[in-house]
Amino acid sequence: MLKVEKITKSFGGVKAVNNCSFEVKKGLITALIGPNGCGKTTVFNIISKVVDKDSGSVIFDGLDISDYSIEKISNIGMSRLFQKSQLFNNLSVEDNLLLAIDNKDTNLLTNVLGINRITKEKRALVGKMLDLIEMKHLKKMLGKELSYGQKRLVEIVRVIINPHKFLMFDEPVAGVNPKLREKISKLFKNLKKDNQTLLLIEHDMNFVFDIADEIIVLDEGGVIAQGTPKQIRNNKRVIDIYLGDD
Amino acid sequence: MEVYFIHLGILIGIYLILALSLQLALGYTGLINLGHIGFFAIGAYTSALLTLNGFSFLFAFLASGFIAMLSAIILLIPTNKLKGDYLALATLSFTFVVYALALNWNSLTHGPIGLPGIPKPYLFGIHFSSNLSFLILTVIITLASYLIIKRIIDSPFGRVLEATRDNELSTRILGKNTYLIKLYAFGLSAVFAGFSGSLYAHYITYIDPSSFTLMQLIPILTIVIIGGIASLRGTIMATIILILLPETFRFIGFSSSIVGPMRDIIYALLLIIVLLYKPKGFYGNVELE
Repeated sequence: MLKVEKITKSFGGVKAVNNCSFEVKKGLITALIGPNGCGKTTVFNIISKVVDKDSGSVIFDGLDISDYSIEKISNIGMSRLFQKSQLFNNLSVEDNLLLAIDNKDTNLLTNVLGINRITKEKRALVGKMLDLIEMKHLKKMLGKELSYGQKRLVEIVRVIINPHKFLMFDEPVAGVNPKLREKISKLFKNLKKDNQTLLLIEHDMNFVFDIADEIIVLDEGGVIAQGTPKQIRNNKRVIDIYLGDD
Repeated sequence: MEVYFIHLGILIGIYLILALSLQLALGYTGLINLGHIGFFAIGAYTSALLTLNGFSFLFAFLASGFIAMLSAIILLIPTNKLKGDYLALATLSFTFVVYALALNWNSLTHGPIGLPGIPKPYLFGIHFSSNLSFLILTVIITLASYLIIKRIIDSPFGRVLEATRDNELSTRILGKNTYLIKLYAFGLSAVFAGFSGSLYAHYITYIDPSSFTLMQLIPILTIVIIGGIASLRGTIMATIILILLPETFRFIGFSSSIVGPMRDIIYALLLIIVLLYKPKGFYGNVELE
């Protein structure tokens, strides 16, 4: 479904991504792991065009999307979570989610004339998703009034309800408590049941080995291993560089 | 006394359109636009020049909004990627460019001499020559402007404007073209500033470049900040209070030559106090960065 081919990116003299190639298969949860600074987030940023690559290409569903804009990449079905919170702090939880499902809200005329409105169906979908994360009672709260964990959950839900074919999560469980982590894990397992395709970056290895079908290991900007969790757990190079003997 | 209060009512209306439209760009979309007085000037000159050359008030009024919008689009195209202080500086320079054009383009604007004899509006068979009739016209246009701006803010498009202000990257990652969104907001904001300029020109009946200096921006900016970022209610309250407050000096015996400078001092003091102790303004929820 997604093919990353020989992408390279340097920041000044530092090569953040170096001739990196891998493939993500449809319907699987694929995890991108590796030591801090190995280029995982830069790879994510290149795929979603937040950062321009120096060379290489990104193929999605057979289309070369290397020159697409951020919004065009979103509109062809890639939905992404950032490592740092990107919630709209002065908007309510409900509005944060409505923004993700309303793809006609940028047309000034249809909105001012009332042709595009916030319908009961849109509110119901948002309510259903908030129910899933047990946050329906907080729908009127502003983004800035939420705790870190609550923000993370709302953002994850926002990524999921944004119309998509492919989901990208950058450290979804970093800094969240075990209860929330369990909730997020359950959410991802449900997505897997629905045959959705996920690519995630995560440092929590228990979480990764629990939910991933496939793991890609990066080091110094390049892929050093790719395989099932079992294959990765037994890969000597990965153990030496990242996982350790424990 | 009645004439005096009618005059204040008209000023409140004109300033309200100007402040509400600035709120649309600055408060709701996060575009720190210090070029608003430039759009006000463009509206005033467009409307004055067209009516002085025989065009109807209705045509001149609509053209003032249209030309101001075109100028906003031309300004935003090269400044689109600028944010915060940099956008503020770029738009501030726009105010100076418009002022310099008004001052030096003698063949069109008559330079420092200005444009006298701007006719009072004649619309749908009614000549708005008296101050009372002009007040009624101003109230109608102000109310219509408020309702349109409120409609925009309350629609899903208004939510996209606020999202762009809060986090542009996040808005783009949800598939929204923020360049177009900002263009709409900036253009619309300029349309209303242009309308406001047209009303001003036809009320005062004389304009010259000194009416459109940076100093004229201070009261508008003070209104928006004191009323509260992204608050239409706050903007209305602040406009009324800030227009009326300096007038109280007239009643305690100060001469007109004192009231003018006193007004500037009051606005500057209020702005500093509010920024220090109430940075969200009185009705705002969003803090200035």
